[in-house]
Order: sequence, then C-alpha cells, then structure tokens
Amino acid sequence: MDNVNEKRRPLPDPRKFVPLKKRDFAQQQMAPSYTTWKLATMKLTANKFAMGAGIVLALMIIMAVIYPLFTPHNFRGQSLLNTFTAPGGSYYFGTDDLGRDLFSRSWKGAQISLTVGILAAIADVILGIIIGGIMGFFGGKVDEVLNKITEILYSIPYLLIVILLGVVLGQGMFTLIIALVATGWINMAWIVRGQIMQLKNQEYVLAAQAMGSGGFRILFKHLIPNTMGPIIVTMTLTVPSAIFAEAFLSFLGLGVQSPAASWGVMINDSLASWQLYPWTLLFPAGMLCVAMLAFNIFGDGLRDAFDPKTRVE
Amino acid sequence: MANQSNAMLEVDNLSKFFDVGKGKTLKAVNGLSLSIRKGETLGVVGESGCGKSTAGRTIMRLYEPTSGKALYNGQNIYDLKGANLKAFRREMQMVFQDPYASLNPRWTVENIIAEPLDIHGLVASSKERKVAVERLLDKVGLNPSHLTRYPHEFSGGQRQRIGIARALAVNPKFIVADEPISALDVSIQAQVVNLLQNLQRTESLTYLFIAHDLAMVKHISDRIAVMYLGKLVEIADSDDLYADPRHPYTQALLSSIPVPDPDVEATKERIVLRGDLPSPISPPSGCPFRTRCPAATERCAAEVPELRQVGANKAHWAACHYA
Repeated sequence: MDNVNEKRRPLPDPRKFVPLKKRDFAQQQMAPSYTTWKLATMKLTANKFAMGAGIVLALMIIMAVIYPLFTPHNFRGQSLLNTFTAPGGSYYFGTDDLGRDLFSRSWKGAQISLTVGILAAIADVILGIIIGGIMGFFGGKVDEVLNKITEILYSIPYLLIVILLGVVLGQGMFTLIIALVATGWINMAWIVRGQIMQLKNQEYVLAAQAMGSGGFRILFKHLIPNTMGPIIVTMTLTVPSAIFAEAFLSFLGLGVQSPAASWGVMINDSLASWQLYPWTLLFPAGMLCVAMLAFNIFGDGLRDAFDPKTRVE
Repeated sequence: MANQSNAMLEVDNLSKFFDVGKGKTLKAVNGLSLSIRKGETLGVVGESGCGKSTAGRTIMRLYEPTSGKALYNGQNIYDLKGANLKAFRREMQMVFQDPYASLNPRWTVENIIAEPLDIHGLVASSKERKVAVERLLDKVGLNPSHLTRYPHEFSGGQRQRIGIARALAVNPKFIVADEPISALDVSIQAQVVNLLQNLQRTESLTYLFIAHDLAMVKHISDRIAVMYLGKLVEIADSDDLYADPRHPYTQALLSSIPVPDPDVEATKERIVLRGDLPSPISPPSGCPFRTRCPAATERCAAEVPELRQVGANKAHWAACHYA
C-alpha cells in the first residue's frame, strides 16, 4: 500500500463524454462453423504425426489380410532343406529353424495380434461404458455393490485367469481375448464412472432434468457423449497393451500355440538362434514395436482431434 | 402470507435437508413460506450458502423436499407424477447461474435450444424445429445464423441468452432465475436483466429471481425476500424494504450497497457484521442470526422469532423479536 498518497488524477469534464455509436454485438458475424465430426477430421488430417501413424496402421491391417498374394509360401509349411535362409529370394524375411517362411508368419502374427487388440478394446469399451455409466449415474447403493464386485474381480491376478481359462477352454486366441476383457473392462468402467460422477452435477444435466428429461436420456445423450474423450484415450491405450499382452503370453506359451503364428511365438522360437540368425528375432520384434508405437501416436492424435477446445491451425 | 387469492405459486413450510453422513443433516432450506402473484417478480437475496439456490431447485422439483408443500395454481408440485409432471415442466422453467456449465459443450446451439421441444414432442419435422429455434434466437437478441455453433464460440452474455432461449422454448409461465447474472461482467449484467424484463412483458412471465446483488435485485423485483441460514428473515415490497428495513440482517445488507457518489459514500455508516455465517449443519438456537446480530439479547437465543407483519405496509413481514 505504498501509493495511498498518490495524487488523484483529475476527472475529465463529463460534458466531453460522447456516447459510443450503438452497435449490436449479438449480431456480429463469426467465423464459419463446422460439425464435430468434420472438425475432428480436419484436426486429425492437420496432425502429420498422427496421420503418418494412421497410414502405417492402415497398411498393416491391409497387409495382414492380403499378404498371401505376395508370397508362394504358407505360414505353417516347413521346408527342412531351407532352414535359416537369410532374407532374399522368395523368402523376403528369411526362414526359421524349421524352414518356415518368416514373411508369411510375421503377417499372420499381425493378423492375430490386431484381432486380439481390437476385439479386446471394443469389448472393454462396451462393457465399461454400460457398467461404469450405471455406477456413475445411479450412484448410492448400486454404485457401492458394483464397485465391490469390480474390486474383487480386479484383485484376481489376470495371469491366473489366463491359465485357468486355458485349462477350461483350451489355449488360443479367443481364450486370450476373453481373459484380457475379463480384467480389462474394469479399468474402463472406473474411468467412465469417475467422468460421469463429475459430469452429472453440471448445470446442463440439471437443465435437462428441469425440462422433464428422463434418466436414461440424460445418461445416453448428455453424459456418455461427453466422456468420449477419455474413452477414446483409454481405448487407444488398451489396443497396444492388449497386443503386448498377447505377444507376452504367447512368448510364455500361455497364449497362441505353435505352429500357429504370433509375434510372441516367433520371438520365443528365435531365442535359441537369434545370435547367429538375427532376422528370426528382428522381424517379429520390429513389427511389434512399430504396431505399438503407431497405435499410441494415432491415439494421441484422435484425442486432440475430439477435444472441442483445440483449434485447427 | 398464504391468503393472497391470486397467488400463482404458494410455498408452504418447505424444507430441504441434506444428509451429510455421520448422522448429521444440513438444513439448506428450513420452513420456507412465501407466495408469488401472477406476473410479478420476487427477488430472493442472501449470502452464499443461505439456501436460496436450494430453495429454487426444490421449487423446480429438481430436489425432492424433506417436508412442506409448493402449490402451483393450487396443485401441489410434489404430488405430480408422469404426464402431469411433464406438463408442469412446460409451465415452469429455469435459467441457470453458470452460462459455461449450463450448456452441453458438445451440442450445437440448435440442439441445445431444441432439447425441450424434443423432450415434449412439440415439433414434427426438422424444418419446423429449425424455424422454432431461429424464432427463439431472435427473441433473445441473437443472430439466427448462430444455430450451428457450439457454446464455446460465444461470450458469457451470449451464452446466458442461449440459456434463456432454451427456457422459453416451451412457452413457460413461470421462470426460476438462479443468479442468472452473477457470472457475467457488470456491463453485460444490465443487458441480460433488461432482456429478462422485456421478456417478462412480452411473454407475460412470472419470475423468482435469485441473486446476491442487491442493487440489481431492486431494479428487477416487485417484492424482495431476504434469506439467512435457510430461513426467510424478511419479505416486503422492494421500495418498502429499501426505505424501511426492519430485520437487522437486512439493514446490514443494505448498508453494504455502495452509493455512486463519493460524498455520500464517505459519510455513510456501514454495519459490519461480526464473524462468519454459522454452519447450516449446526445452526444456532433460537434466532439463526443472533450470533452476528448487533442487537441480540437472551430472548433471541431462547425463542425462535416467527415471521410477523411489521411496519405500515401490510405486505411487510420480518422474523425478528425487535423488528
């Protein structure tokens, strides 16, 4: 409070005030407007990293489907005369200890990994939104009971679920998906629950109530669409983590079994020989890395694109 | 109070308690009674936490009351079910405090304003819907071409206009305005208040206007109710209340209004209240205001003052032993 004694500036003569010309600010024109989807597409295409990752993913998905067109070899056919062939000739990626073509095995592995990742993520999202939405919206006793159930499920180690399900259903891709979803949806449900609890006290929810809107209309029209951002982020993190879990479990022999191809199985197969024949490790491990990186970058781009507060440059 | 024959809304001994755990209750609204005539504006003032917003929301039946009644055109709001409740929702609408939180950020203005029309099935086609929204935008002074935009593209005042347009969509008769201007700049406040006043005339609306800005409330209200700790402490015609405040709390509130004249302001006597607002979880015994009242006596701690008629004007009521 040093400037208490500062001299007061003399007031201007009030007769010199001239009122501003009347302007209607409400009528002012604004920049052109776009719908959410169009805006999101525009933002995504402007993001070069995300677009690059998206193109890599698209190519990967296409190749995983059409790879047989490019090679005469089958992913499980053995040729004991051609073991550990270096990349070249008709074996683009070389062969392994049983003379199996690594090119077709790598792409078959991509097929399995992507299927596991995407199906697990979709199942997580559906279960997570429904159960998390109910927990968050109804709260109280419903929330308490469901929360206890999810906590109990979460406390079961998922390796145990994988092994037990493998015993009951037989080991393979679908057992893996079920095992991953059995524990994965809980995370999604908790995220949706937290979001909805936060959003349901917003005034626009009260406004919808005041208009006479029913509970389910509020839940599905107001609350869930507003949680899409975190849902997309979580989902794009679920896909690479499911892919990694598939590779890791197959590597340990708990997932996809040889002779079926999977990146994890191939890395395991290469363990004895990779120091002499590095391509047996390089191709499956490299593709696993590229797929995970691409999913992560693309997920980040999607999140930014759906955020209404970011702008198109 | 409850014998005014042309009352549109009659709130009778309304209470809303919230359970805050450990067996404690928060008495947000405690035995509130008031009535609102058709076409008038009743201002409700009080400091933060006095229960005025809870009262508004309970009257809107966004909260179920703990006890008490609210008669809207003779019909108890809390007895309504199903189709009758839905019809009531068309009669009474609400304008919210925070224009940033009261509009869904992912919806276009058209969808926001048309939401009540959709809920009540008032438009048959998308073309009709668009026309209705354009008409409402025009009514609140916004450009009809704004209907494809999102709330974040608007200023606070424009958003509040969108909120008002949404409330008007179903042609309500009664509007609860829950601090509609407190989140706005002072220059915008006047615009929004003028808009509300114009709409009151053209749409023949009745307002329950909740606010904490006394000067603005005096400008818009016919009568003013002052709340303290969930209770009504004084209610009177607004000129009467300003000229002759009877309750010590009202007197303190009015003395805090700045006067736009430095000479008056320099000599004006301000009543400064001691202490903070007591917790509504454990309110003081007797008169809720006694802990901060300059004139409190032993009687105030022992006896709860009833709302009684004071002064010359019949419509002037206060809840103080010494008013």
